[in-house]
Amino acid sequence: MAGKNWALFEDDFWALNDVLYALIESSYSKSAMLIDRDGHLIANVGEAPSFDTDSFASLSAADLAASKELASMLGEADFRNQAHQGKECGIYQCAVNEKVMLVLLFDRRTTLGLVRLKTEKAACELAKVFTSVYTKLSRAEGELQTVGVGADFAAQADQQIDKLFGDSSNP
Amino acid sequence: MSLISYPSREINCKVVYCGPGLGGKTTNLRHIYLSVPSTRRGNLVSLTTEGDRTLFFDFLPVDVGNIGGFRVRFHLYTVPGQIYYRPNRKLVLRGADGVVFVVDSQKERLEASIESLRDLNVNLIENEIDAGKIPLVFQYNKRDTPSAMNLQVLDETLNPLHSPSYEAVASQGAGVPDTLKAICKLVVRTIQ
Repeated sequence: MAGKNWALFEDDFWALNDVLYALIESSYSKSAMLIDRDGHLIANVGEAPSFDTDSFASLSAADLAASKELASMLGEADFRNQAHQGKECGIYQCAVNEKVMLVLLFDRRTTLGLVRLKTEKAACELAKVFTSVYTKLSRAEGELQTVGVGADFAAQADQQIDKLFGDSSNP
Repeated sequence: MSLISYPSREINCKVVYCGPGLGGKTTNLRHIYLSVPSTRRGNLVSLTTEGDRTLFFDFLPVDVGNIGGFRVRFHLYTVPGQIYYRPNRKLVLRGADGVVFVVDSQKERLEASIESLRDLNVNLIENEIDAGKIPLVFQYNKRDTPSAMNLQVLDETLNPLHSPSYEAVASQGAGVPDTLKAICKLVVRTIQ
């Protein structure tokens, strides 16, 4: 394995979702997303977005990664948060920890000040949940490889990959 | 690093296409975008310069389907090939589960490929990715050009560890699916 894979289990997933739901409610926002810094969407609660969430997650991760590099050029360890505001809606991004970021989508029902205040508080709560996730993962290391991913996983994957890309090679 | 979500039964993997500028990385993704059914892939997002060169990355999510009860998705990225975009490449390579190195087979572009490979190794190390362990597939692109080099010479020069390699003419789609299949299969084996 090139790097360590990581996993999210049922209890932690719902604990994270609880924090996200409370955040949307208290900040009067549209939706909240948890995205890992490699660009994978972890959780998404609130109004169903009308856009491609995978693309959104990859762009958000790139956005925060680029700002982190800019911070380091200025001698800062990180810019922990950033906001983008349009006429009707906006995005607030903030780091939860080294691996995960929180993104809040909001509109004119709220203010950037309130969003910032509530998001920072929620990020601290989320960080605690993730600390417990990582502890659990390090304890379960080794066992994880056999949880749910069966022995014939690779064989099944090969079939699916051949089926999708093999059949589609001649458009 | 693959993300395995047990509650949503999803596995997300990240594959990055690297290689010298104008080697055909974006062309690979465009062909995949056009050839995979729209129900199985998302939008192709490209962050480009005004001259349509990759500035930050191209991104294409592909849904391989249900495997062993998990929905497996590959997030395909390209990096900008030009030398001065090195910081951008490093960011995109973060958390990569697999790499496709797209070589421009033309003799006059060999030095660019060697330099790009060196840059890839440095970026992997800086991202704490084991360059010797990450799934890697070589694609020798532009095989239809008059100055395309001998395959054996390319392999000896660029691929001494004998990673899987494929010939391609990405502009026509040739070799693109084989390369993609090879890297996806290698990445899946790191999950098991």
